[in-house]
Amino acid sequence: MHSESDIALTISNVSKSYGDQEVLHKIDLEVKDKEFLILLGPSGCGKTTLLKIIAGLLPANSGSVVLKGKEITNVPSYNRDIGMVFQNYALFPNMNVFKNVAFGLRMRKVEKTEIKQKVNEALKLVRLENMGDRSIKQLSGGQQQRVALARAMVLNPSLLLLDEPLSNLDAKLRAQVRVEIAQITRKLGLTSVLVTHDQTEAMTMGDRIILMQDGVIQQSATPTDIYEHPKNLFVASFIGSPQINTFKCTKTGNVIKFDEFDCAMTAENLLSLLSKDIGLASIPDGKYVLGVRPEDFTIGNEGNHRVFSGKVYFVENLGADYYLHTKAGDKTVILRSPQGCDEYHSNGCVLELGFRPGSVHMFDGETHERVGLA
Amino acid sequence: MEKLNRILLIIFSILILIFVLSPIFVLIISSFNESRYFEFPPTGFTFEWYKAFYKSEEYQKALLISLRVALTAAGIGLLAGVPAAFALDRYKFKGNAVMQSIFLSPLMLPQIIWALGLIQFFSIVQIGGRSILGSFAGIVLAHSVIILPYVIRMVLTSLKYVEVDLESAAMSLGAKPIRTFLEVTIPIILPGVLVSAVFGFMVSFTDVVVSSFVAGTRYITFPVRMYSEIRTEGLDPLAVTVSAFVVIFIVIIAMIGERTAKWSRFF
Repeated sequence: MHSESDIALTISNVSKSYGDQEVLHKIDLEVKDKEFLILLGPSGCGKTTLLKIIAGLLPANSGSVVLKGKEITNVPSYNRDIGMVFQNYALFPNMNVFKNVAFGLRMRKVEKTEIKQKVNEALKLVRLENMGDRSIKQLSGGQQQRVALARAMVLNPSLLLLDEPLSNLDAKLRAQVRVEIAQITRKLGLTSVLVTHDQTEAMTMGDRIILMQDGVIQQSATPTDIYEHPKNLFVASFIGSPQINTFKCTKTGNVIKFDEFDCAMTAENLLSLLSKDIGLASIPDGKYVLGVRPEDFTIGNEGNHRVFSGKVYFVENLGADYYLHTKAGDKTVILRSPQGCDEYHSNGCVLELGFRPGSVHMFDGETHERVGLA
Repeated sequence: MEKLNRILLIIFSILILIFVLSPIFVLIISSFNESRYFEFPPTGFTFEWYKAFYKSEEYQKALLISLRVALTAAGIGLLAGVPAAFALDRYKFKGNAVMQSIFLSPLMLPQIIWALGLIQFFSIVQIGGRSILGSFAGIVLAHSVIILPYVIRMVLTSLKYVEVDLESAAMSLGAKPIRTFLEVTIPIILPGVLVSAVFGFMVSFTDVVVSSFVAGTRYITFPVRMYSEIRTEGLDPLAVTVSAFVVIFIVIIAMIGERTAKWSRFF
């Protein structure tokens, strides 16, 4: 339990629809003070809508938003103690860098000398000191991004909102700015909510990830937790690259038979491989889906759990390790193999594959919920 | 082959330029011609016709009327057109597309048809017991309407430069809607608004058809005066000179517009 003051933002029962289409369905969430929260999900999952509701740029149909103990559900955006960074930066083209960053302070009627000092501090923080006179058009994408960040942070808001702030940057810059934003917000102790569809961003930047789909929160957990203990098949498939391998199977009595290719194992054997300790009672006869991440396979004699064989048909060399695309029957299985196991890394090679103990995720075949969740 | 294509293209472009510009060129050269009769090439050089134009009370009066009408009509066009364009751009209400078509309809209809309707309509509308047909208000109103489509179109174009996120950003930084409009929206659309005002002014200033229908005898605008002079007196050097003057006037405005606001991007 957290005391009242630990919670920066509370969202209760927030729903939003456009006509018949419900974009958000009864969302509940809390953001702790100084926490960096990620709203993650595929496009159209409602994450940006939720962020705009928090920012006061969109009204919710129902529910409440409470910031630092103050109900702000109906407070207009300009009276909310927030800072927001937009996907396309939304810098004012008619103002130079200094004036952009000073805008919020000016609206709050801060004294001129103080504005100057605060803006210069903010610009220094984003490594744009002495750039105040530049016009926005003279800046590169990365610099514009940092001006946008400085403009939002200079107000020292109770809540910093970031809407896909990295999606307009090229890959190399993205990795760099990713680290910068995470560092700066933690240094300043800002409570932040970042919206993204990029799982790498989510995993590397967030203290906690909320994964959404179809306007519903699928899971809220730390990056480690959400990766190692996905609550359902959607979460397991969304997080992780290459995607988790899924194997449909059927349990009859003590035998678990794979549906897609010729393979079977005993129930006890399977239980020993699962990522979570559950008893036989938790898995009655029926349909299941097993999820196995690419790095959780044993190859050849590495383990004693040989399950099936896969024939390598495509090899991706990533330098540090390899992605092996294999076929088990007609089923594609992608696995990650470290450098130095060169004998596996050629097309046509047939590998004896098994699952690493303690790594297999088991989901109900119908509901796709994780087995033994309760 | 490629070289031949280039040469053909250049020749073609020059031909088009000649076709477009030669009447204007002839007009301006002729306005300095000594002869009493319109002729080209000119036989001597004189400022005589410009002096005559400067002394002509009728033309001066007409010019003044035209300026007053054009300024007032452009002002009204802005007052009505800017908010209309803003609403059409920002609010996706039912009938938005229909409204846009209606606002642009004066561009589609032959002006003479529209002016005919306007006469009928104006003869019914009365201010202080008098029909507004032939009044200053009447002609300004008519011009405002033919200006409106240009204003709306250009302001709509310039509003496309204002991303909605810019206004959201201003609000998230603590700017109330009015402040946002004044400090963010207006500065961005200002060039477009100014250009539409100048363009509206020109549309009014050069209009013959609508003016000659609704103006009556008291408010004869400059182009209408020119037209009737040419109809009655024939193509005399004074008319040519006045035309040349108008062309020069418009070219100067266009050059200022292009220099200051790069206004060709709004068309």
